[in-house]
Amino acid sequence: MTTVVRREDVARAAADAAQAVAGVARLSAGSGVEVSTPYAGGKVVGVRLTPTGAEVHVVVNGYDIGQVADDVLTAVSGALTAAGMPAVVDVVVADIESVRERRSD
Amino acid sequence: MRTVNRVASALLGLVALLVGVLVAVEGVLLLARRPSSLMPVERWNDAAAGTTLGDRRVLWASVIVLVVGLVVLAAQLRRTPPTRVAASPDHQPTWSMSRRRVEHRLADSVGGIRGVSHAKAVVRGNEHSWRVRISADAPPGQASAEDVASVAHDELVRLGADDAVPVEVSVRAGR
Repeated sequence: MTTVVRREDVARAAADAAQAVAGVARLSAGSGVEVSTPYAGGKVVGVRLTPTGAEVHVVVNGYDIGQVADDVLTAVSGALTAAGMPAVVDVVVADIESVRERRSD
Repeated sequence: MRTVNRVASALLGLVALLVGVLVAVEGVLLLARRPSSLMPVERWNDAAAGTTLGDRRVLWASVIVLVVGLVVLAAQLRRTPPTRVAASPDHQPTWSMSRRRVEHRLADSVGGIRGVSHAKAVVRGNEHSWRVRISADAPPGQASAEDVASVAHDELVRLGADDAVPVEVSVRAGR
């Protein structure tokens, strides 16, 4: 029996995995051409499925950006593997939300 | 950019729809052996068949196509800054940051130094090998290029960028 995995389900699983990571404020549609996975009747914004895996654009709310990016990579990679999809993940930190620091010196 | 894309797609879709409707109507008229009234195709055919290569219209059309082609070629060959930059080329697997966000963060950080104004950061190079050029105004004695470079370096580290990202600083003696 062959199991058919729907594109939108994979994209949504990847998006959920990324958003569940501590330090991720939200997914981002990017600033140029929208980063999304379109399907009949909708789209998953912030995740673009590629032949080798997925590209995920996140807004980070913290300063340990490298750790957050690594965690997103691991989480999304796991979600793709669980769906039986190629799991090469490209994480893009589209924005950083934090209290702006002013230096006096 | 997204708005431009949407407007362009909407216009393209509209044009394709109109042309499609016209072609469909013409097809129906042809099948019904009725004279075409929407598109003067016979007149166009006669005009095209009677036009030689020496015609001035052919010359001008060729010149316009050539110019448009050269403009498109130049636009394609022009070096554009990367939309994103790799945080660390040696870091595997890699992750990237938005180039604009890096520029804004660096400019904000440098602009936070006392006395510094008009701070601007520009990222050059490509996604995996990039460098930063920072320019700012500062009154003499207030902030040196070393201060600016130090703050920029700290911000790059905070952003998770590679230590080896070259930073070029230019501080003008502003007011």
